[in-house]
Amino acid sequence: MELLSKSADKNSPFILIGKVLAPHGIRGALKVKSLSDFPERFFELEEVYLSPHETPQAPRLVHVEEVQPLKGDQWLLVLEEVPDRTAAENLGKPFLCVPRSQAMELPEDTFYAEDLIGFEVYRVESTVWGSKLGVISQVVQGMQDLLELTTPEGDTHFIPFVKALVPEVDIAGRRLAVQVIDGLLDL
Amino acid sequence: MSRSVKKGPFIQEKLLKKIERMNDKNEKRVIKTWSRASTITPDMIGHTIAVYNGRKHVPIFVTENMVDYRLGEFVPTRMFRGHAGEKTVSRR
Repeated sequence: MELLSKSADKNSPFILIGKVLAPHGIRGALKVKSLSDFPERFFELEEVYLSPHETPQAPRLVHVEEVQPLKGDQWLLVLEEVPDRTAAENLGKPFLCVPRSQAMELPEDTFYAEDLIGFEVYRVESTVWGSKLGVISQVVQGMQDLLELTTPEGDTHFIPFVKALVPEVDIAGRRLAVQVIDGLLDL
Repeated sequence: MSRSVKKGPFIQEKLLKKIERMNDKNEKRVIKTWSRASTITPDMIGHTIAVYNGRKHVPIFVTENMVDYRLGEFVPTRMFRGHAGEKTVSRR
């Protein structure tokens, strides 16, 4: 179960796909941890942006020379701009990001966790969009995904992200409707 | 017949009674439980059960493909904090 929180900048034109963990070898290769649910995208990577911060502001464009999978969710990247180990060490541990336009296409009823954070939550009453309950502050990825609702009073509640309890998700309006059953907001 | 098959699945009696009572009344409300070891039965489908993770109760909505698993399997006791990055969530 992984609790996912978002970078501070809501309107960032970039999306994080990885984080440099350490230099690897003397050729300047970088060991990278994937932050993407689509790790196969690393094979097609030709250009990537490096940002020292989680919120990419003016990230640096670099060109990918070679990609190699390592164990688990780790990858080995050789960049044209990083010729040796000293350069790799000087790079620090930046985040890897790509423009949002290059984000992978998602099937129906699948959403980027980052996009859902900040959505307004409405209670299903006589209409789908009833009274406002609060906003989504975090998303939990697990066997059953959960949304963390934060009320204006500062209380937090988990809501299972299933059609029966979240019948409507309005991406354009950045809001979702929740069927509140007895006891859901008392936990 | 092996001994474990003869004994049947474990479900906390109190939880089972609550589910049966709610099914009889056709009622839907969150049931709090500490019994992580209880097996999910078909009677529980469509109910929301809040399972204790050692700190708080985490609600899970029981669906058909959860039957035969145990409640605790859906509510881990450790939560790893990560970057949202390009991670996705699905509305099932």
